[in-house]
Amino acid sequence: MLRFIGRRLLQMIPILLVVAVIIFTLMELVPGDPVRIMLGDFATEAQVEEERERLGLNRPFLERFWEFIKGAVQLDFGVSYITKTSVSDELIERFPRTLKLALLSICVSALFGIPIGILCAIKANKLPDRIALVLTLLCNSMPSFWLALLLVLLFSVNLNWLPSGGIGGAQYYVLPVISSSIGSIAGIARQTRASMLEVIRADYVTTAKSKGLSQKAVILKHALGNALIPIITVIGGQFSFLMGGTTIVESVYSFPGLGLYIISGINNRDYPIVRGGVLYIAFTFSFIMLLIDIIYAFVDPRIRSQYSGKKKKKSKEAEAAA
Amino acid sequence: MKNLKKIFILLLSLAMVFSLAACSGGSDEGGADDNGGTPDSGTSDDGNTPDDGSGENEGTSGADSHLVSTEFVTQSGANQDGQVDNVVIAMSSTSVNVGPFAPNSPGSVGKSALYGKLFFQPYSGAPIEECIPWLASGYEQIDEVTYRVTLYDYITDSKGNQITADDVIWSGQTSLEIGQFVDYGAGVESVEKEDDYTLVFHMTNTAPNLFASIVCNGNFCIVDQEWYEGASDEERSTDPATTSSYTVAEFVSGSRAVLEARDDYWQTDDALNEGILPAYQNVKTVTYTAITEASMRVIALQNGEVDISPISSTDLGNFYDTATGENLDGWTVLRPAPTYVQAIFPNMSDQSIVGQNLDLRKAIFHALDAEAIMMAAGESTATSILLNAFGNPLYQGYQTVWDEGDYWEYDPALASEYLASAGFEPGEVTVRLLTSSGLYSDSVRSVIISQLNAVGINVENISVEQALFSTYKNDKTVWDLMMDLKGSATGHIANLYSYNFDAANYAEGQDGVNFWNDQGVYDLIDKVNDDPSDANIQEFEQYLRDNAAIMGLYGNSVINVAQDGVTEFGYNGMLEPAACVYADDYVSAGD
Repeated sequence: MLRFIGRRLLQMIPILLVVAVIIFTLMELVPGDPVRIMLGDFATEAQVEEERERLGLNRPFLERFWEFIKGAVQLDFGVSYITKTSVSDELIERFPRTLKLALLSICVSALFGIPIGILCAIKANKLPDRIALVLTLLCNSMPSFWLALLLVLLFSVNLNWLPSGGIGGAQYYVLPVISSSIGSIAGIARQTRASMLEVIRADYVTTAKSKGLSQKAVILKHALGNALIPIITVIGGQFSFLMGGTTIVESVYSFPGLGLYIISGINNRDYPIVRGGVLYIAFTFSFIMLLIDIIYAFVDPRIRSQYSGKKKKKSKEAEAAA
Repeated sequence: MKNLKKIFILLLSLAMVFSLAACSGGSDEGGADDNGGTPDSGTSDDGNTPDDGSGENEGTSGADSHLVSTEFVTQSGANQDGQVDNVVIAMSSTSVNVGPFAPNSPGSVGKSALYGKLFFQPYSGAPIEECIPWLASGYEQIDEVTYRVTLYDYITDSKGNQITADDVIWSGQTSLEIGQFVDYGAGVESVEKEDDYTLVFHMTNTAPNLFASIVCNGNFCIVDQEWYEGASDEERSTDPATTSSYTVAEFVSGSRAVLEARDDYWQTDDALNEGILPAYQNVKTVTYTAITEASMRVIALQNGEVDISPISSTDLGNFYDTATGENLDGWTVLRPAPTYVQAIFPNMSDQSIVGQNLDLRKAIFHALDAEAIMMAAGESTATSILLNAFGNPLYQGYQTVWDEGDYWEYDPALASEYLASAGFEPGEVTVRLLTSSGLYSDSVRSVIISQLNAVGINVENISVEQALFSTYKNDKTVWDLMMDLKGSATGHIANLYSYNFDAANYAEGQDGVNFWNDQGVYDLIDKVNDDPSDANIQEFEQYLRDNAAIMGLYGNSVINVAQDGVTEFGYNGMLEPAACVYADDYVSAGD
């Protein structure tokens, strides 16, 4: 297992390098001059040139790219052109907020999504299943900004129960978490239903039932465990997405997370923010995918045996050769 | 199947009930009941307002401000007895920054309350004679371009550092080098130190108001060099040494900054603080909180979560009755005198079909109805003024005679005639219209396009986001017509002319904001700068009209709304929270 994790971590290096090349090149190609945005309309061309020189934007592409890579290795993504603050510091400061929001959202999504999915599978094609299917379809179809605004109007303006935005205590997370979770709940519920339906029809579940096990035991012990892999995949995907920053939700609730930061960087052509932000997302995504693979191994003994199987196989081959 | 239909009906009904429950009553409640808070100044700019790069000094009320409705505010604020504990101010950007060399943007909060300037400008564009010495104790004009400035010898920052002439020189130069104070580079030839508390400024030219626009500039934040160079990045941006009347008590990146009144503010003589709004301390702590969405700022006001917030013109109806011209119950609305100039620029280069044809430009200008465009932008006479020249009535040097004659009168028939004399049949010519999607709504573009179409001019719509707009507008091959907003850094109309038409301010070969390479206009710029007399200014405007080189549309500004316990706004072109006046029983949103 450790070798697998090590190998996967090593694989992340070329992935991040490719992402770095792509984002660096793309930002070069995107029209829009950060210096003009920074200095405003009334800066003379001489002043613009001077600022470009100061920021190093006049240097050759490869030279700048190398500087960027050297900095990134040391987790130094430079200083924002606009705010003049360290991008790394800003990412580090915003990361816990986004992590908290993402974790809460994914927990809420799983807590509601999985039971709903199981219920749908057990009651397949019956009234509860149909209601749940329609509800999940509705949830999936609702634009998050629209839902977010409705929640604000209801809970913040009309009922005055919750703040309409910003960050602070737990109450500031309630509406963003609900807004981020609704779509995920639907996705997880539908995936759980589909996976459970496949498993429920399997022979070993029928056998378990015929042995007289209670439905609860059959579902939770025999069916759910075997249906978890695709569910974990969906949860992992949703979590990665949330960790990248839920820009719309962050924007509506003025939640100072990573998504809003990266978007402001894109709008201002603030290259250091965009590069640092995208690399962060790539790393987070890769890391979460690794975690998911590890979780697979814990959930499914067959996968676990694959990780250790190669080692055993090699040692057997070595023994045979000897 | 029947059951399924019933379920659908049930669900849709639930969704409708939920939506209606959420949407109902939103505008009636909120603020009025919850106010009581006291607004403090606050946020300076809305996200969609123009930024001319001049910081606090754009626009200004000039000699001819009588042309603007007296209801518009140009300057206000007072020092009051007692302090309100806390006020919460909304700002439109999450790029919260309290550093001295942060750009003047919606996220750069309380720069005037944190960092002192040499002089304080009581209203935008005030000449140096009307500016109040702040860190400076006075000035003396040695010749046309040379000024001697003396500093108080007891200025200390919030960390106890002494401020001297070296710090002033270093602060200006640093702000320039860091790219935040380009006007300094253009306007200041050099600054010399005569002694620890005396400086001599050598200006680059004699343009009207130039000296005032530099020494009062919002980007000329004076800090102690030794502190700055010894501080970490984090300290600079979260716990700076401040030279004005407030200091930073709390800073949450991307979300909020809390400013706290300094007990040890160096200027203890109330008489010398008189009139300097950022030196007032009517509020103990000012909390700036980021709310990016315009609609959410309205909700935050109505919900009593903030005391003062900038709003967009389209939201004004929630707080102000434009028919009666009165604030709605529960609200105080600050409608500043419009300082910006919204204009249509034709591409005057040989790369554009418009630039090569004077009659076509005249056809375009006569086809456009400025008032309709203004209304499409969500503005009204309560927030904006229609322009009668390329200039704002607030600017010094504005000529009242312009308001008496016609200015590109909306006349489709005449436009059609000009189109014919330009050599085009209706529908034969297409112009490319460049606009920023961030600055102008689709309604504005629709109105312009439909008005041009009505006289037979086709339009190719190039609507791009602000960053791309900044690039495209400097490219003569991309557009034929552009809508953009402009301001005057010094508050004088001569400055508006120079910045827009002086080739020296633009890239080689660009020749002004709309690529107009014309010796006649260059000569007139020099003439106006050397002698900004009425005759010279009128001659310049007439030249613009004769060549159909630009069309002023309307002027506007940023509107702020406060809970009604705010009885007076502190305002000098920027909202100053510390100088707002609050009712005795005011209860802040933060309490």
